[in-house]
Amino acid sequence: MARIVLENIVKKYGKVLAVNNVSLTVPDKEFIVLLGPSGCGKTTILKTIAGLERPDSGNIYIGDEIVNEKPPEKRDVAMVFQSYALYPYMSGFDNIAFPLRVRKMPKPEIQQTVRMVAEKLGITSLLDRKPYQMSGGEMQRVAVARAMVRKPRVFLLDEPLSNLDAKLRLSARTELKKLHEELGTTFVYVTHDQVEALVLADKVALMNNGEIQQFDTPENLYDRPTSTFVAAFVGSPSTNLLQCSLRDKDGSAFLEGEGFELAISPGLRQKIGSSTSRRELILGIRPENFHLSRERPEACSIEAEVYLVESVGSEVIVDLRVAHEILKAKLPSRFKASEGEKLWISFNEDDMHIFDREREKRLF
Amino acid sequence: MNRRTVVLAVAVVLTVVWSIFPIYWMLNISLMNEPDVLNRPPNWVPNPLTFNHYTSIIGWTKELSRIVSGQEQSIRRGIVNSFIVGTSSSLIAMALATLGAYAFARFQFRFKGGYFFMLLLSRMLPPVSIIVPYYLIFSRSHLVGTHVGLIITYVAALIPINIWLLLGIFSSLPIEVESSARVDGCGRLKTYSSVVLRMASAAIISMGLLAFGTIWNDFTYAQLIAAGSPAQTLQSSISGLFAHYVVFSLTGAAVTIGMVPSIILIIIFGRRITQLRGLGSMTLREAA
Repeated sequence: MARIVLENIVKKYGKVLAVNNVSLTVPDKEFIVLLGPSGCGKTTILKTIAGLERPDSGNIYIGDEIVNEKPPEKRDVAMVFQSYALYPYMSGFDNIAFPLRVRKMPKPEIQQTVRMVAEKLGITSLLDRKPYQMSGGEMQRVAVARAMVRKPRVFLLDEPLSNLDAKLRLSARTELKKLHEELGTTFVYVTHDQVEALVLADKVALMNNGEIQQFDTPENLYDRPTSTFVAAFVGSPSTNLLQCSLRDKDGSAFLEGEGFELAISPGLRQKIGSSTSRRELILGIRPENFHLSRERPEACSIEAEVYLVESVGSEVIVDLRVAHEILKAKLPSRFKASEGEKLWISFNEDDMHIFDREREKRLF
Repeated sequence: MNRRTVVLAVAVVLTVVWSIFPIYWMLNISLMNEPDVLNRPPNWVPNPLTFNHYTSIIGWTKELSRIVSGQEQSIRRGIVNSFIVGTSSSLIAMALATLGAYAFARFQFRFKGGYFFMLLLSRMLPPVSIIVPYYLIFSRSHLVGTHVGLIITYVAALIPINIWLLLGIFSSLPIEVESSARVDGCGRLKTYSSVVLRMASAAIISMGLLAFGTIWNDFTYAQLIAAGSPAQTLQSSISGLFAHYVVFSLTGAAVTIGMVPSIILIIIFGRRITQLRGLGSMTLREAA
């Protein structure tokens, strides 16, 4: 049980900058997810916490102690690897017992502890089996058992669910969440799956190109993305991003882009004006915030042509063409539209995310 | 059966007989009394059958009285020497080669490429070109005619090729398992000894056995360094039997004993030997 603090971590592989000046505080007992596309440096950060990689600069604290110079075996962290990394020549029991044996725990105690953990995870039947006789889900549980058997201060998980099939992934996800609540240990979890991240995490660190883009609660990540990258990454289908410029005409304000002119309220105009002097903006709207109608609504609307309608069971994804851009709207499945039809898109001003086009950062 | 098959079958049978016959004959005469060896027509099976030559080599029965004496004792010592040299050289070579290969597979260090190139370079030299300097160095260091001299030679010869082969094996091991062992509480050395070596154990044991077989069968270096000395290996002892007066049946018995390790290796490795033998026999000739 311990908090983890990363201070200005930099890690290069040759000329590739894998982690660029990352600082992060993981509070004690929290479940933190490092989320990002592959190659964004999230696994590298996990490995630096474990001690498997040495940062080129920066400090790592576990508890109140600086652990830069400590080898992994002395850091008292446990890790579950993407490939599970079970010892191939050992039975399930020996795999789970391994960390205890290394610590020279007396034999009867090892027996007892391993049995207890195995019972808790429901894997007593796997104790006599070798890894090659186990399925992916079974190996994953043995790997988790091996990690928790010695009650580490910190749990590190590197995409532990990505090798499981979809159905199993859901149940394993729930189990992990439960496990975190029961163990009360700090969890750091790496994934590229945003749903996993939003479901599991107390807080998510969304990474890109070796930098943390936003470190926030899942709600804020979804509701208040701080950059266009975050807005595009979180949510499925991803947030629609439209380039536009701020225009004042006859005392009222508009967002003007290719193929549309969107009237905005004086309140919104003032918010934009007070946060930037620039007029080149990006407008972000989540697919689920679209309202579509055949009549032109009062305000806040864009005319579009239906390009494609995809049904995904409970809902439909409607692709809409505005000039050369395709916008995606997510609507209940009872919505009917035919391709080529003209529709009006409207949305609440509260659902609009406005970004500075040059810096790609959120305005307010 | 068409003609093609018949021709092929005959060719195969002839080839097999051609290669097996000397071995059969060697075994045959080794089980005869010496006077029967030159019988005409030849005895195709030993009659009377005797194990005298084997038992006298091992030392269970008394040496047979002949013009040249002490041959059995020389063979016996050769066997013991071959075991001492073969076992210790292959153990030392594998211990060092595994460490070296692991370093090349997992660590980054300065001049890594250069070191590796030099290892391979030693394999590129024609062995003849270094035999003279080799002998001079050994004779000045008083290592000629000693076990240590032989062991140094064989270890030096075996290390490069085994590093090269093991590098491939270590690189193919999943690195996450090693990371996992580190996180689970093993230091570097413990990870290496209890996880890495364990995962590669099948390959390491195979290569160690092949190394032993190579040393056991080596004649060139054995002859160069230890011929005629108390440390001479079985191969040198056998060649020493072809002196003024050859005892064919005893020689046959010695050669048969000399083949035993190779036969055991073939039984152990079965089909895999065809892939590995080439590498194994290259070892000494090209490496040292």
